[in-house]
Amino acid sequence: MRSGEFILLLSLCAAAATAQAPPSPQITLENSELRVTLSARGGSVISVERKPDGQSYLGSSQQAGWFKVQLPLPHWEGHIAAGKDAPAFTISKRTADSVEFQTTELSSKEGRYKVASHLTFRLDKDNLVCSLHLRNDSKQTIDRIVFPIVDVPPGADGAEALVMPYGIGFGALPLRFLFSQNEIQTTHNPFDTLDPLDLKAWFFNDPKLPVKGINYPMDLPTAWFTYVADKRGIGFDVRTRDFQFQKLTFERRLFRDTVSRAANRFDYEFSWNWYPLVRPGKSWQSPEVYIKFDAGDWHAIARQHRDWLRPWVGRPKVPKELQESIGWISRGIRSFDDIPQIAKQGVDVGAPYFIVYGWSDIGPAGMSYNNYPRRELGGIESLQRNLLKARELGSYPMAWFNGTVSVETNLGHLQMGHNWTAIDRWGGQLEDGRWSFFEPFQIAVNPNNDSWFEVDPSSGAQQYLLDTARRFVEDYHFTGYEMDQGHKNFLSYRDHSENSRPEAAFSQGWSEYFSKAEEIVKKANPAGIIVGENPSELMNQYVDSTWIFEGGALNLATFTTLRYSWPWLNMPAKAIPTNRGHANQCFMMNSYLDIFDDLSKYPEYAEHLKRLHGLKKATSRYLYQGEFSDEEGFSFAAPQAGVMAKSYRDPAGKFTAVVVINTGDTPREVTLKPELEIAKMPFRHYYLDGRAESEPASSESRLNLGAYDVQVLTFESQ
Amino acid sequence: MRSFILFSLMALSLPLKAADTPAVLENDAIRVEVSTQNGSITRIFHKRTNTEFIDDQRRTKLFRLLIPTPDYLSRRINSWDQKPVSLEVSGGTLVMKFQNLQVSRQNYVFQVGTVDTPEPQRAIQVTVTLRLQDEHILASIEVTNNSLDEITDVTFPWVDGLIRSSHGNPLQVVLPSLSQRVLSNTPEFLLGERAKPYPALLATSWVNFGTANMGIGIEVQGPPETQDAFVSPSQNGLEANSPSAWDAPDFPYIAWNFYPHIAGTTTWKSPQVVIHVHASDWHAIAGEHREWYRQKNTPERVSNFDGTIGFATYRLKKDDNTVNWTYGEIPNLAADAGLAGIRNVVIDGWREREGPGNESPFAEIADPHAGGAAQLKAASDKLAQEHVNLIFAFHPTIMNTATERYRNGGLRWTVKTRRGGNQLPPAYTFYTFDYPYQEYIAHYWAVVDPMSAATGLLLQDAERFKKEYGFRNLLLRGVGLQSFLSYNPEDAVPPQKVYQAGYGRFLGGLRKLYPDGLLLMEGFNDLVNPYGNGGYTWSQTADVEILAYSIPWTPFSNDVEALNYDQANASFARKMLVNLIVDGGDGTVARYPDFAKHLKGLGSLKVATVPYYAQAEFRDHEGLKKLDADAQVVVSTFSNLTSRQRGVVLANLSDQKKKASLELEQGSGRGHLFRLAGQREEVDLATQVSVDLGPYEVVVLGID
Repeated sequence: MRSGEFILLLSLCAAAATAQAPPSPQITLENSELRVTLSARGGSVISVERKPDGQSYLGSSQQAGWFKVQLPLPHWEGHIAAGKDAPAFTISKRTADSVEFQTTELSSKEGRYKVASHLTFRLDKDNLVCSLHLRNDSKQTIDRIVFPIVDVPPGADGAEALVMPYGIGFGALPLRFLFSQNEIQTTHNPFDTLDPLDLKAWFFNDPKLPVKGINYPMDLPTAWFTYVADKRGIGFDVRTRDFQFQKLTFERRLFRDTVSRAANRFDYEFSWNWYPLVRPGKSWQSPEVYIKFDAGDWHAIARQHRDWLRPWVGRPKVPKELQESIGWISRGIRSFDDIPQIAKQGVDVGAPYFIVYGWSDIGPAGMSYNNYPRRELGGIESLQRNLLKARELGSYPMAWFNGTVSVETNLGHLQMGHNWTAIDRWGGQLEDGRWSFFEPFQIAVNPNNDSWFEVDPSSGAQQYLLDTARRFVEDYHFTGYEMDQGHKNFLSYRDHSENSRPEAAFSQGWSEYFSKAEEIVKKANPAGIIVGENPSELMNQYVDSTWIFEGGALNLATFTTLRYSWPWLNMPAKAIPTNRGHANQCFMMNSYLDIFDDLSKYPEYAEHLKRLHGLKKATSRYLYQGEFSDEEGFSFAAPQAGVMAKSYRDPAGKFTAVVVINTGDTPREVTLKPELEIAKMPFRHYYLDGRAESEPASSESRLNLGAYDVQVLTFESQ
Repeated sequence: MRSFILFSLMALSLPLKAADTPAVLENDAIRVEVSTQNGSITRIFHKRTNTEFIDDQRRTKLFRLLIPTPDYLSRRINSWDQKPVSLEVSGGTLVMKFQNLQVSRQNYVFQVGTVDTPEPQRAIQVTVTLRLQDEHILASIEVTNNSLDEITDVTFPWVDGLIRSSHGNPLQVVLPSLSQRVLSNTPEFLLGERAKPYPALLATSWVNFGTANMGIGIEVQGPPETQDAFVSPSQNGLEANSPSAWDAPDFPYIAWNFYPHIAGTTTWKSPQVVIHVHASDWHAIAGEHREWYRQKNTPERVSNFDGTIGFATYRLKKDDNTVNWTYGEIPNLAADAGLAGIRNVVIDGWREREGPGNESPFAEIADPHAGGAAQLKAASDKLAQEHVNLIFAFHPTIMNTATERYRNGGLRWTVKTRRGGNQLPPAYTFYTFDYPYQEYIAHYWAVVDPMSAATGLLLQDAERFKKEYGFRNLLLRGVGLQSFLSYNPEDAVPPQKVYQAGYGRFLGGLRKLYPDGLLLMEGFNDLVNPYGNGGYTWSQTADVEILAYSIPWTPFSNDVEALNYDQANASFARKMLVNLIVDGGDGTVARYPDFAKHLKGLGSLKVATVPYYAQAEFRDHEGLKKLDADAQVVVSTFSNLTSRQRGVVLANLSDQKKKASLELEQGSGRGHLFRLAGQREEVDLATQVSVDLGPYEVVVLGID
């Protein structure tokens, strides 16, 4: 748009009085970075242009409108009133870089509904910041709000991608590969799951289903994503502080040709879904959603969201003992008398935490209610005695535990759990899985099936689980526990009280539980920890580390995105005792090693771990007080095969630490070049053999890396 | 003491062989060796191909009995822990007897591992008989239970220690399955050992393990009681150092699992089991089992679809109850299907409430908002007069646990597992990002026990449909997806017969209620096929010839989306019914006139070639001496068992011109080449037949 046109538009818009019909069909918001054109009728976005380079974002994708409201009717639970169909929008406020729209009613083909909406937009750097307020004076309760909704074109190069804080398998592929190019289906093919152990019965996303939903904070552990196409990024940075259940949905909209599949067209619709119960007479206010239009480097939106989180979000009080460790060992035991010996193996290599598997009466028939010491392994007194013995050796033994599922046929469920399960929108219990198939020595057959339900932590289960945690640490002398499936978060409609919040049941319940559990564990032993399965912005405020089933693979790309976005979270990885380079990468990522193997069989690896532990002790301050910053603050003069590095930076700028590793058995020489400001600082150079040397400020440093070497350089202002 | 004396006497009757000398069965085709120490099948040698099928003696087995207790479901008796009390080879037959069987001492403690636990012997007798017949080992097992334990499972035969490759070619498991018909040695996500349920996932009762040139398989010649094929083509996904792992991976093997539930003082004898050892691929066992079934059960060929390529499916209402079409619009939908020459129309989403809000299975009620019962009946009657078959979806298999009806008695009518809980429905995915499916699938559904009183109510519903809604044909959602054991104590038959007997009542009752109507089964197997007119089987694409070859007398369907010319043609080539389902049932073919015309052309081709194709059975490539076809050309042969006419279908799945040439094994005289556009040519069958195929063209070669 030429400047003359803009001034004319601006003048016209500014002249528009509050609550008056707009004189122009378009409104343009503008700041130094963005020019956003909205329809004056309801605010639908018409175009977005990034001013520095003239990039245009939305192409010809037809916008679905900014929001939809689900107003279930007795015969139609999916009844939707879309904002774009509202009878009349008015502009209530207008400046050069902001505008507010409002409407008094919404409509659908079923009629008009007295739901007033107030839609606010403002520009903030390269973000279009939006929020929505609803006032429900209809007779129906709103139970889902979709806001914002943005429709975007595919990449011209066919390589458009969706980047999220935690990969979940989407990030590496062009987004279009997630979808069929022609077919549409609404449910899974039931024949694909008739063998209940087939992968599709456990994890399957069918390309024929055109909409995908990612739940926050369970699967989207922190609330941002960005869609990258043709070096343009369009991302949502969603700013809620109560960790309520939300859902990102993205739809591949297919515009099928009438003749040839090859001529089919498609685009994508990104939506954010909220699940409050907005009852008649009540209002709902969305948090602000920052829609970021940038150059497509995910770091920008991750950093923006991280900077917003930093001042207020909770962080775990990771004990020094864990900070200085290289991780933990995980082992099943055959007798409680085994515990001290196994524990010592971990202590010797700097992995003093020990997740004890098999200590309790749990099994494939159930989890939550049988967490009592196995008598066949020695009983309670033997457990207590051996846990104390392990602790005397410097170990911190932890209980493997799952309190998140209630099994229908378990006595505990019949006595207690049947009142604690999460309830879905239709009044049914939420299924968790079919874990009872794993009956040892018996091939998983259907007759072994059982119903496992999700436990709602806002129920009486919370106190039971806290009592269990207290029993673990106070009665048995564990120094903490692993909370299996602790990241889970669902809607739960079990509370029928007037102010119930299904979207907050899990979040509030788990927040209360984890905060109290953390207190119980740390009070019993300041070095005590909780580790919880999978990353979650909610859970990881309280637990000392994420835990991954079977230890987890070290996926550098995924870990990098997550840790950069959420640097207060640690991700473990399963140790590979034949691969010291892998251990070095874990060190570089500050990822705990989850060690399943008997290290006495791998003496070279054990020695390497001891050295890593020494280096960790010397540098842990930087790794924990600094924030994981990917490759910011430095560069290499020339890349060398097998050499990697990551930085940890103090957010206030006091220091930058760079961890440099050699993953291979060939010595390497590299030249590290700190950024200008960092290069002004003297630095201390830590070596794997325990040496530490102070060095003067320098614009570059030559590093000689031995085979499987690790060195840490800490640049710190005086 | 008595048993000790008996044991001693039996031991004396053992043939005097050295401890490691096996018992041998041998004929011109194969040699089988059995351990005299524990009865394990230790050698299967195929002479014609010089193939040894067993190479790991440590893993060889014969049978396993399961005697579970509520807190120890895997309590078991392993044949390899026993010593036969007698083993005789006579007249080409080997008979082994076992007595006083030792319960396995290998107990497992969750996350701890295996522990050796004292276990007693049980007064159980087992007799295994093996007899050779050309390339077959005819096997049976008889179990007499004089213990106080119930024997729930009998795994027999268990052919383990199998080779993993032959001449550098990896062996694959092939199954007559509705999903994943070919399994290779690829790392599994959790466990490599798998149970493939029959009759449900498996349409019929065989499994093959081999390559294109050799194989070993198990065929069970029995009634369609609930059973499993056990296969282990791959190693576990769980690593050995995981606290969740419990044993070294056991692969590859094949076995069959019966659930006879042998109570104390009773005897059970297995149906005949045939172990095939052959120099061919899966066709050998599939063809022989097919002919055994035909001889035993004389299935009638379903002819309802001889004049049409299939049916179209519409969903009047989505699972969130958003209405796509009202009852008044059904004639329009039928007219749209008619553009593709399709006069069979499946109507789903017709109920007052769809999705998890439906009080299933007791809410099959017309929707007043869509027009109510009167309009529904009017549409049904009108289209019946126009010779359009409306096939309404009926949902009799799952029970919504969130309803008063469930709490007030319905819970007595559900399938119970051996843990005593509700069986979960077969359609379940633990973790999916597919939306909103992810929300619907997490809802807690139970499975209706067909032996329960629910069946009577469901039959009353079916009668009401006829009377009040004018229904003449039904799609029976879910019926072919399952044949679970049910441990519902109110059932009057043992768990493995609940579906066989229950469906006898339910599906048999429906057949009587709708004697001339179409009953489409969601599923395709030996249990439900005899009651129905075809299988509604969603997408069936990869390796689908296995299914078509195994059960050629009953049709089954393949989903075809708008513009999926390739799937339409592939369906035709394998004689699958086209299920024209546009946008998951939310759209019609009217937007795609060229595609509709193509489907109509396929229908016309089917009508023009009835004796060579529609009335003939699928035979894959049988009868072809030579075949040379471009990529993306599917060639199938058909055999009319009545008229002896034959057909060859050549289908081009691409939008490019293609070529194919073939020679017939019994080629002579003239053949009739029917083209998709309606032309007919005569061709000389004595020489090589070459056919040029236009983009997406299908031709049928008719041979008299």
